[in-house]
Amino acid sequence: MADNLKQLSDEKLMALIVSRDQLAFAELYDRYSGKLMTYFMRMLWNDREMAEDQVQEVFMKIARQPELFDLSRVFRPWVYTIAYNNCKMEYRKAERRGRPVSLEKAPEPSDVNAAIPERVDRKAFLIKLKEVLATIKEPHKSTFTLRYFDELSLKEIAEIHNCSEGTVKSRLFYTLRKIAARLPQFQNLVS
Amino acid sequence: MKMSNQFSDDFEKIILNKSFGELSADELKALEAEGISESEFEAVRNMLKAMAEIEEEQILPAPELKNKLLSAFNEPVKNKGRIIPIQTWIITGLSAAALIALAFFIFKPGLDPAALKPELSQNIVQDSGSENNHNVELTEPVENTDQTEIINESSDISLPEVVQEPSADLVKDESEIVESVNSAEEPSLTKSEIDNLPEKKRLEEKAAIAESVEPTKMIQAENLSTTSVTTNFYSTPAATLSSGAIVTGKATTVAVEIKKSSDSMKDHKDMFATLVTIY
Repeated sequence: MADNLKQLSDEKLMALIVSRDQLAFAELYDRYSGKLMTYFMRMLWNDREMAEDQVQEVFMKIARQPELFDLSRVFRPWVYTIAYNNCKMEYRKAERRGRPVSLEKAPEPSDVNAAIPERVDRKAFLIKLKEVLATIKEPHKSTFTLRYFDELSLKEIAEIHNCSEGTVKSRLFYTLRKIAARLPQFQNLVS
Repeated sequence: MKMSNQFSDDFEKIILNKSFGELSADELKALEAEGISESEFEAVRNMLKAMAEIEEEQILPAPELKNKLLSAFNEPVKNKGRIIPIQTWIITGLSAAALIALAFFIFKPGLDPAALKPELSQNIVQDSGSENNHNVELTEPVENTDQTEIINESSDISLPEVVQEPSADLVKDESEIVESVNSAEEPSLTKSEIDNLPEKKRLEEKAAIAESVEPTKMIQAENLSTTSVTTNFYSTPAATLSSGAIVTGKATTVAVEIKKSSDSMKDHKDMFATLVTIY
């Protein structure tokens, strides 16, 4: 039964969840909990506790009101839309508390421009990339993250952000230029 | 930043597949329009390639979260019942408040439009087709009048706040007065002489006129004492004659003044006798 569920699409799992199938819910959780957790970590200041709370909130919504999902649509943009909206709510809360939503005006990360060994560690690149990404404002950061980390299609991102695909491309290019300008030491990463 | 359409549509494909030297004239033009130099193009290209090769380690939530969510999923869905939207509550509340206000206005005796001071009821238009002021029409809703002003100035109005229908006692009193007046006056003339009196003829004519007029108007007497009672009489021929009515054309008004507190019945008798004599 569980193996059969693994072969089902997200949308079919949701149809089973609407009919209160617990195994389908567990399968959907296994598919998306890690992705969403990582997404929330990236989006919410690398705060693990906050990310877990958000994951719980998203799945609680699916558990209690699965009928909110339109079975004729695609699940992935829908669940990321919920996730993105939750992030926006957290940003608003943070603004009220005086916490900066993005660090765009913050000083450059201290060792970004430090000398990089010839054999650049990709892990180090990722760390630096995330540091720079934290300084990018919304919705550019989310667009970039969804595209290059979560690997969503341009169409899906456009649906999540409620904008055109052209706008998504424009935002992606803008963010790429900005990050490339901030991380010149990693130019030789790809050769 | 707004990219040109051609470059925007395929920018990932172009950047990933072509070096700067391999770009077509149109693509170079598009890049130039965006102010992107060769070095910048290469930097973005390298970044995009690096992003494509990145393998981010997935972070998993705490294992107990799954159990928690599964048990939440197994909980029976609470019967939410029929939730009334907040808008419905607001509308219901406003409607109830409006009804209460309306009821308060309607049943408040002090706000009887008939008791308004003349200057406050300028918006009352009298029916121009009749000489009496019986038929009135409000040009604007009574709700628009200043209630505070009415209440504050009501003391200037000589009319009492409560307009009463004539009570049975009052009617009885009056009939007694009339009877006593009639019985007190000894006829000094013979019947034929009385019939030929011009005064009586005139009275009969006026009574006939008054009979033809529909009773509509209530007139209240002036205050004569602190305990005076104002009575509204519908004008009838009998009332007209017995209480010393003033008959003017079609309009018939009856003023009855009764002083109960200090005046005796004799005073009434005298008063009516005087009125009849004057008339």
